[in-house]
Amino acid sequence: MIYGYAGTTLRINLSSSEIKKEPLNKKWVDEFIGGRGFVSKILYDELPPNTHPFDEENLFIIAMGPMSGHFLPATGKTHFGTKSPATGGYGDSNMGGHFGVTMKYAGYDVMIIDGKAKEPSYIYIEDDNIEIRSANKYWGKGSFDVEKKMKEELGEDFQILTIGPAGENLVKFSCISHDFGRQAGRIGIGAVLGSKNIKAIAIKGTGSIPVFDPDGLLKKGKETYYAIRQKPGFKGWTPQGTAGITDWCNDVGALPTKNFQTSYFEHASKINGKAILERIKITDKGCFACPIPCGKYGYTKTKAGSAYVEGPEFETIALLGSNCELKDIEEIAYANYICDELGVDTCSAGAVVSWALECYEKGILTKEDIGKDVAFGDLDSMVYLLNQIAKREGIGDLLAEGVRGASERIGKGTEKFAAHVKGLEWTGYESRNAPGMMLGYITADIGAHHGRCWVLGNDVAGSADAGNVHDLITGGKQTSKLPKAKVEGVVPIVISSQHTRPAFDILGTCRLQYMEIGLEVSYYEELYYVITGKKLKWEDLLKVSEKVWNLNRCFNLREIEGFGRKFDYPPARFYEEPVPNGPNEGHLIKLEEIDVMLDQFYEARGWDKNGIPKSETLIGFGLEDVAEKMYRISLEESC
Amino acid sequence: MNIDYPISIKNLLYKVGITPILAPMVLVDGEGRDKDFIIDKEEVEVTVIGPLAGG
Repeated sequence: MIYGYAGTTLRINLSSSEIKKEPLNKKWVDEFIGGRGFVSKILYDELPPNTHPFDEENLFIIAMGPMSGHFLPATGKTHFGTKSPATGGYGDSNMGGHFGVTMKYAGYDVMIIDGKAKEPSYIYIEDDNIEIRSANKYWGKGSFDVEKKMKEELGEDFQILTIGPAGENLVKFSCISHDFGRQAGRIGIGAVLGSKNIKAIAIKGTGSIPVFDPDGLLKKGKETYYAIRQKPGFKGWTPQGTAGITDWCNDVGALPTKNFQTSYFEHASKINGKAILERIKITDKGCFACPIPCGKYGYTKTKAGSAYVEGPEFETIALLGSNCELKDIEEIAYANYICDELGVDTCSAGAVVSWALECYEKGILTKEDIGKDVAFGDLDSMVYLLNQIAKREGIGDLLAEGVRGASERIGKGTEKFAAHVKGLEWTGYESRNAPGMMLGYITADIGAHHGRCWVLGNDVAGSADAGNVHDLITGGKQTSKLPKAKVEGVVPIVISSQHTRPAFDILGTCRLQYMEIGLEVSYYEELYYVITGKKLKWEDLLKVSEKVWNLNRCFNLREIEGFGRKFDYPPARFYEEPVPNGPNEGHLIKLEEIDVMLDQFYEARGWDKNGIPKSETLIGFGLEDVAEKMYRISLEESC
Repeated sequence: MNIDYPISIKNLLYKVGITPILAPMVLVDGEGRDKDFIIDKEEVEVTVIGPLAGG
């Protein structure tokens, strides 16, 4: 028995229908703790090198952490991993809800799926009973539709994850959906399930998780809930959830607008958290055991249609809203619903659609190419393009490749405004006056994702320190111009954030209690002890997080041809085109400044000038086997 | 702390040395208020929340 863990790894080969249960690898637990740590270790060790993301051999991994599934604040995260269809490198993505919790109650910490089912199928798990069942009747249907029908068929006790038509059609930014509004959105994780002919996984678990000190856990758990309720953010942040940041992002010139052409949206006050509360929200909706429910479940009615939908969260507001110039929160919510039902990531979808709209505006894509006239700010255009993408019909087949693939295919300078890093689309923070965010985005292991690093507050503070800011007033009014943010000194802040944010993905808990509410790290240390019986200092957890960061870099080096520094740059728009208006008018981060930051970043991480971890760095993290493989290969090649 | 009132939140922040742009969220007695809100009571609890990520 390993306290805090269900104790079993479930392996399913879809080609042979072989199902194996094996004791959870203690080395994984000791060295990588859980969740993202497990994914990183398993992918590096077990994925055959140079496997294509859609090959049968690619691994689809679900991995939980030691804090998952206990009655503690926000322990409902489920972590997924695979070789990413979007980037061709390391990929992970996670979602809230109740799936992973139930997986642990069914007895499994880790599920590793490979092979390919002979026909559209779903995986049925009820504790020890595991079956691969036909999903022919669900194939082609939307995510909400399938989840509802499967719950009707199997019962409310089953937790369901599904893919939509986009995943079936291998759209490179397709997602996994669960709990009528929670998604593992990034890296094209849904397409990997689709490539394996898996429409859904249904799971029911009735077991429990052994803990070291049950009484201590009960006591500490109550104490933690109480502590969260006393935090100012409990009252301040929870009502609007993540959407509450919209106004501020606009006021500091960081809200992506019109395919990242600018960073200020004059209609931001119509698409903010307050607009959600006034026009959409019916009720708060939280994940398992969460005291700060950030989901805002509601109803939206537009000219294009109406729907019940969760959200939109800030990232969705930024990418489907301002970045596509939708000026109405109900229209954004409806586009959100369409993405969820089709099974595409709202972040990438917004970046892809806005890129296509800019191509159309510039005459690079024509009416004949697209199939109709389209325009920024037009919901019908977005719904049309999203449907084309999910079905890979017409222009949708090109756009389904993501902005990197699409821009590389049509050229004509469109690469310059294809907002991605390593093939993963940029999310909700325009960074031409946010050097820390810029560095965080360009160096993230999975591509341009905010979940790996968020230091916008530091960037703005640096900006604020850089000049007279006494006239920079927020609160819904047009702001004055911000001074150029300081590039110096951002590297340690970025690296710290890159270790801290993903640390919660290792533990198996949501980071928002810490990040947004301010729960102290001592709570995590003490909870970890009563759950596992092992002492873990926060600094030690961050060391594991840093080890994972290095291992993922090595995975990308192994799997992506020519990988290195050249993969760590933003699109040219971000260093060639000054922001045209708003608080950051005239600002950009020059290529030379990016290079200085990269040099400093690599040095601080113990990587060489090409961004390759040095042998001694890897050995320092206990990754001797990785160092040996990497440097033996180099030696042989040089011979 | 003792401050002469009435006073706007914006001016209160200046007085205590906080740049308003780094205070995206301010609560007065538990209610979210914009920075032009005038504090006109003798005793209030003002909570200033720094920049938070959007997810």
